Amino acid sequence: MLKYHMRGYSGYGVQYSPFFDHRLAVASGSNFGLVGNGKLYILDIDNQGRMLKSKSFLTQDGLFDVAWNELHENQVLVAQGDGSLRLFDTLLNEYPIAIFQEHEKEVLSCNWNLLNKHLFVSSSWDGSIKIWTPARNTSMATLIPKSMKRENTLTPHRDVPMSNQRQHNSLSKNKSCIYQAQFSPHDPNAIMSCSGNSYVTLFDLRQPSSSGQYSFLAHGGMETLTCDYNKYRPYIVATGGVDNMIKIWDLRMVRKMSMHSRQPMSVNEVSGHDLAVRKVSWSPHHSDMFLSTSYDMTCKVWQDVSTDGRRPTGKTNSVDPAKGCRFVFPHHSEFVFGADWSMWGQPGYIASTAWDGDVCVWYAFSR
Amino acid sequence: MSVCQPSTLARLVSKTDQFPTANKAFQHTSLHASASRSRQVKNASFEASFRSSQLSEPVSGSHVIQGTSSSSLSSSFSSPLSSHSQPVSQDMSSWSDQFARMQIRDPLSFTSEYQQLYNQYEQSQQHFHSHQHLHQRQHETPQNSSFAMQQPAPSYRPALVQQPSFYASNSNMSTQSGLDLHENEMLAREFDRIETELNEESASPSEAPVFSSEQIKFQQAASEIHHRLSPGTETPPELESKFKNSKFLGLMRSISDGVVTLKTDDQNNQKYTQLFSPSTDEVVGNEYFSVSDTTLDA
Repeated sequence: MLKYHMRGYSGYGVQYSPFFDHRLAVASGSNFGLVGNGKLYILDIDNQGRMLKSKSFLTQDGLFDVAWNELHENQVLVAQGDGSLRLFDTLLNEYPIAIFQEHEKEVLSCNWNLLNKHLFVSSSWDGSIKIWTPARNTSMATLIPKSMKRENTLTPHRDVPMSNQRQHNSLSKNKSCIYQAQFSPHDPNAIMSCSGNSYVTLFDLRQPSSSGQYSFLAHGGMETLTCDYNKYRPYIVATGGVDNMIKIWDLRMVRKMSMHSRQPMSVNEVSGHDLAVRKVSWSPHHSDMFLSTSYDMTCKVWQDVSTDGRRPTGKTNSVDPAKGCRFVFPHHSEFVFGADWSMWGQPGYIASTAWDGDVCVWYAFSR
Repeated sequence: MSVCQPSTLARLVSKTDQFPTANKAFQHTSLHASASRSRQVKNASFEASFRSSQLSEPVSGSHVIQGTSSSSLSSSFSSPLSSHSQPVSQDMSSWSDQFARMQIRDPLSFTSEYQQLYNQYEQSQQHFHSHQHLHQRQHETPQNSSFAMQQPAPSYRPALVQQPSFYASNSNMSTQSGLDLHENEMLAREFDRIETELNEESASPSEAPVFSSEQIKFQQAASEIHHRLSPGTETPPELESKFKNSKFLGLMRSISDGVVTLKTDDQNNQKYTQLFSPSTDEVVGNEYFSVSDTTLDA
């Protein structure tokens, strides 16, 4: 295991460089990201297996996510707490080369399009998703999920709490928060987002934003914090939420729930975390492996037993003795927020970062 | 004029002459007129005899009724009167005596014996209550002083405010006036002492810092997080040990306790940039560094 400690800063997001196998970018915030500066760390792994800081950029607000530019090996995009996105060049110092300022609240995620590589997407606490290109400092499109607009049974009245249970206190809060949005690795025009009102929304940029979207309820009314496309099965997505669950959805298997509602089927459910699941990410090397990070201070690697790699097995992870868990990384001492699979070298290397300020690189399939 | 009169008519005329006023009274049948006329026939000696008889008259019936009637009567007979013959004055004096002795009796009134007993009872009760209040407040004073040290003024002040009205209602009691003055002075001193203590308390800096709405929201959120993530019976052992060593949860506990809160930027009071301890005024966690909001091209 390799480890780097960011003194005074808590890790929110980490991503391997798509151009260099030894380079990582880490987004962090001081004081656990609650208040104060942020810092972008560029970490390099040297030949002796040490992880060293090659560059850092201090920002005026906390950083919540990071994405490498898929067209430029030295450019890194960060999502900042003041509603802006900033593009840094790792060969330059101090200031960003571009600022994208349109969101009204914290930008919680950013993701670069892997196919149409001159686009990137951002999601914010203001309830909007924006499509950007580095060549322009204004957004190309703004997407707002219908679930944010319409009144539905899962958007309770202000004065009537949905639940009095303590663990459901957050139900009435952060409803408009879009925690993550990302492009599909299979279709350059497909975007998936997840939000505080528990809805996952799929957008098709080729259609008008009002009609080209489809939403479904993912975590029973509780916040959906993360989502990810399977890299090998375009119709399979995974979500994680405040209900401590990871759910795997088959977007083809849609059933009619009511006159105007159609819900895809959850083909697998994993309940292996003690607290909310903050991030899920499918393996770039396996169609049935994914990782998860959680507020329970662990990072886990799972096998989706609902498929054998070729066809559905009809099983769920509940039948597995370990619930499909193949590896647990327990060495973080605070909430684990960010993690990323390495595309380089032997499959199974993972970088993770947590609020303890540690950036760890570890191998998930060691026995 | 001779006493022997030749005819009845003459006798009648002669008798009528003896009562010139009465004759006129026959002519003026109005009672009010007769009363006004009767004042003219009264002289000073008659008034004196009336007054003396009235004063010597024993008290009976209602004091109020008697007093009112006597005063009205005395005023009605106070005007100067012209001199008249003796028989007339005798008749008038006898009439006025009867009038002066006249008593207005209330059939529904209590008996005089009962009223006397009731007056005695009222006087004794008034005396007893004044003594009782006096002793009560003398005993209460030290209690109130100790109570005032524990409780804020509003619970104590109304009692002090109400007491002057009590003294005002009893200020006509000569036997209480000395004690009242003494007690007033004592209570005034006590009141001044409490006022001084309260002023000192308000002047001294308060222990609890005053938080803004943002700071209160921040504190509530931290309290909720800390409460939610506090180790419980269902917490797994490995997670419980992590929670105990968690710096974030320790910070949440400090924020929820009010030990740590948000601090605004020195240049922008609307923006919170770091955490600090209000008691020591020291920065907690990372210090904030201002970063220019520009790009390299600019």
